[in-house]
Amino acid sequence: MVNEREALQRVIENVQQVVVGKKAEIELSLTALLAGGHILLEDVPGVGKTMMVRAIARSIGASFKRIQFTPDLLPSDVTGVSIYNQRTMEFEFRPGPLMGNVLLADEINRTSPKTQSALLEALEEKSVTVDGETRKLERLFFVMATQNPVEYGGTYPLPEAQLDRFLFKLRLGYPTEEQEIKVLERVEFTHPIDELSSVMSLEDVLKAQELVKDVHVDHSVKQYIVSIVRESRNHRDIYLGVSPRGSIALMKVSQAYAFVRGRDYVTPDDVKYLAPFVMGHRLILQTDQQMADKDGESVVRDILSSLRVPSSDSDSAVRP
Amino acid sequence: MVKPEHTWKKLIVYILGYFLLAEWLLPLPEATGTGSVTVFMLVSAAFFIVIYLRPPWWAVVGSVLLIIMAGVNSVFYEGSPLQLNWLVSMVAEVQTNVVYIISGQWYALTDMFRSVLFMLLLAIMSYLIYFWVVQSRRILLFLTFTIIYIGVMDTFFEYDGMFAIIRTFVIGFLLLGLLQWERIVLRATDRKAQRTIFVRWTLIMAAFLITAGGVGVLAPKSEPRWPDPVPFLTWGESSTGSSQGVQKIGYDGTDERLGGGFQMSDMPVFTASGDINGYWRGEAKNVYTGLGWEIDTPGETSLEAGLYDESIETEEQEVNIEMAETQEFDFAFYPGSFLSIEEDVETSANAWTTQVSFGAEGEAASLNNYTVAYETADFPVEEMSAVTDNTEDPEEITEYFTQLPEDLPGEIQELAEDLTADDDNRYAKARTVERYLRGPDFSYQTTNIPAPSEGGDYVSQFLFESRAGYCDNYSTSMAVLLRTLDIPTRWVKGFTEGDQAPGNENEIEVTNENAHSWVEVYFPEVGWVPFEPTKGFSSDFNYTYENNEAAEEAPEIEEEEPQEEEAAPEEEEAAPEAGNVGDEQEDASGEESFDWKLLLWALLTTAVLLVGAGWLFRKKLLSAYLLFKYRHMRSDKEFMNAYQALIRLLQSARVKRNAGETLREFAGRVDEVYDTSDMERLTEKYERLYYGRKTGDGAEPETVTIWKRMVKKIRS
Repeated sequence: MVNEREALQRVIENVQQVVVGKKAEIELSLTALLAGGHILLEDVPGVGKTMMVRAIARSIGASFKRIQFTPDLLPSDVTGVSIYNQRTMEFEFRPGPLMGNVLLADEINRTSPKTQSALLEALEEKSVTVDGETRKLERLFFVMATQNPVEYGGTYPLPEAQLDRFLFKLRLGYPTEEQEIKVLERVEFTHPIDELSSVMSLEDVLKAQELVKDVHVDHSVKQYIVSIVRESRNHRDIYLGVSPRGSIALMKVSQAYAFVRGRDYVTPDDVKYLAPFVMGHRLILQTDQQMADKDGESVVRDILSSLRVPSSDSDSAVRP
Repeated sequence: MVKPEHTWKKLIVYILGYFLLAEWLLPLPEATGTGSVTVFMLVSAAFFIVIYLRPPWWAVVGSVLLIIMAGVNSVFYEGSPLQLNWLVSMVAEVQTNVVYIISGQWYALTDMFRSVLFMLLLAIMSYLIYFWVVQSRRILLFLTFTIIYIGVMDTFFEYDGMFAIIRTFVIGFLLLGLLQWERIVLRATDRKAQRTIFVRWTLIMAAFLITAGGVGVLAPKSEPRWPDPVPFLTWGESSTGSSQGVQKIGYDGTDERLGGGFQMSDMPVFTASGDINGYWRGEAKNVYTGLGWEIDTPGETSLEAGLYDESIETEEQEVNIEMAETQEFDFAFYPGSFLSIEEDVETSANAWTTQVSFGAEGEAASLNNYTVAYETADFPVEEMSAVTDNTEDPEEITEYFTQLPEDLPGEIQELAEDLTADDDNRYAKARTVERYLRGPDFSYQTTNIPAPSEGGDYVSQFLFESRAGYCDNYSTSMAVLLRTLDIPTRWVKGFTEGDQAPGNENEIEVTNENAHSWVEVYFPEVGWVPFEPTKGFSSDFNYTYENNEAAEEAPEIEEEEPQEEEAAPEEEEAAPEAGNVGDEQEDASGEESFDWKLLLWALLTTAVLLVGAGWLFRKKLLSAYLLFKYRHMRSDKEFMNAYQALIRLLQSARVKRNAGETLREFAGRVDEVYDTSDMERLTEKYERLYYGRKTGDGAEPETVTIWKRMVKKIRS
């Protein structure tokens, strides 16, 4: 376990050589990776989304695929297609980009719902069915989908049910002035991504995924998670709250995050830190709140700021 | 000078300063006959306002002049100030007065001009107070002088300063507190510290003022030594022969005016040999005037001057007296009851005054050496105790020996009745009064004794005001107290027994210092029985019980020195009263509810004080308790409890955990407040134990150290 953790730290350092000043986002991405989930990145183009994903993939020695979603993209372009081989007189399966380890699904909202759902189904099932044949995806399968929040023309916004399949919705945001200068310095002669080497084996990542499941979540922390989620269902700014799938996700990412942080138990701080990223995209706000340009994350932060954090036995009513 | 920032706090302080100045004006009518104090108050209020606004100097001068003119106009001139003719006369008057000043004719200054000058003084005072209060933030000097001023006014003039003193105390301490607070704030830099200081300061100040004021008002206060020291002071300069400066040396024939000091003199009066027995009698007096003693009994003399009833057991004795060279008395001194003088000079005894005079009637003579036969008696206590009313007293005894002045203060009788409420017979009453006077309420003193002024009462002054004096005070008081109960008494003067004469063991010498007075109470079937109410003196009178021959008598003690320490039996009996010394005469009045109420108040005040102190020092108390309770944390559980206690301690130190704040966030905040990283380290350990359900490693010494360091940091 110590080895995996050290390796993770090396990965973080490695990725930081390419992506300047985004340690939190890198950590969160790795958290999602370890929790076996996927990430939705909502940000303007050019802030380093692709670089981050590629750097992560390289650092763990994984294969990296990329799909640029367009309105005319077909499901088979994603999953792969069987092509008739005239020489062998047989249909041959040409695997699509889904068959890699790390996948960047760029501008996922630009493609038709049909293609979107083909991808998202794969995310949930970890397998694709092409021509009646079910094919398993790679054991390590990590998707980072991106959305451009600026141009909405000709897009197909993801339905809520499908947003649910992403563990996190993150923003990278612009770098600070210093960071941007640093970025310029780094790419002045060669791009650092080319010099990146693998610092953690795929096997170790898989092993870490198993270890994450052993991270202890105390009863009081579970209670805290549930109370947050339940509050989201009663909050007056929220039209539709977070489902139990959301609670599960929150717990899993908390475990993974604690692991990244080098702990084998979850603290409420983990939960509190992750909840906006986990829950923000899982709820539907009241119309007036949407009009007021409020987003899910800020409402979740509202909830967190007033919810008592269990810190002693007298705080939690029931103990196993 | 930089114009200071005017805040509401400054205004309050300034207004309080005005009230202090007002306290100076209030006693003026009583002290100097100044009228129109209201005008002066208004004028100074106007000055205060002008100065507070801090206009340019010419405006200040202009407004001050206007205010003075308005004030003068309202006091001295009739009619509207707008009809400017009064101004003309005012200017004229000022001109004349200026001439007076230049020529030094101070007494000629008119009231108007003096008022103008006084208002000018008030204007200067207003500025001075503004300067003290607003700019230099100091007021103690002015407050001290205000209190002294009120004290002097109260003492020497008719002015009653009681409430003035309370007002000044409250205002003055508020001012002191507020100003001190401002000075503290000046030193404190950040805003938060200023706020905490204000809150704390106000609380402490309020607690202090309330308790101090409450205790001051509620606590028993000893009466002033003299209600009015002025008579005493005039006595000090009595060379002009003021009648109040009575002073006594030795045996003095006239007792019409008692009081004043008693000058010690060891000049010998006579020496005696033979059967020496107790006090030397000179004469007895029966009329109390309120200021002293006089005689109105018949002047007829006979040889029968017996003091005792025939039924009383007596013993005949003889003593030889030799007068000192310079002493000439036309009457004899003798112990006990007179029988006869065996000399070839004609003697006559007065049965009423018991004075034994030499020479035929109308021709006074003096003897240098004479031998007196007398008898001493044992006074039977049972018989004396049998006297319960005055029906058996002979008529002339009642007539001559129960007189009292008509204007005798009623409080004397009240005191006598209170004292003897439990006594059912004359002897017990006499004993009670005697014991009371010998008790701890009074002190023996021969100097600094006041004398009552014309219209005053000697006994009342001693019993209720001075409470200090010598034999005359005590004996007169006992006689008068008993007379208010219709018990016949008389006042006897003479000498105490005297000391062994130098160089002759068989002789005793009586000096001026031995001059003394005591009381005799009449008991039917017994006669005149002496009592000794003077503190520090021990009588040699034999009171006997039939079945117990041992006399209830005091051992012989040398006279003329207060002997409060060597307790005579009488004093021991009086001891229970000593518990209530601070209670003035209430101890005798038996009013117990007062004590109870006072106790309740005292308890309440103490409780409030304790709670207040506990609240003020809750941080220190709680941390001390925690440090003790968790001095060693042996188990994880104990550490976790200690950690939670720490959070509660922080709560009381006003670092509260917000809703929705995780422990780690809270710890970060705490560490920022206390500039440390200890809280975070403790929190990490707690999280491991609590959220991680880790067990085993207990609390390492290091953790305990960190925890203790943190608690101490919060405490300081």
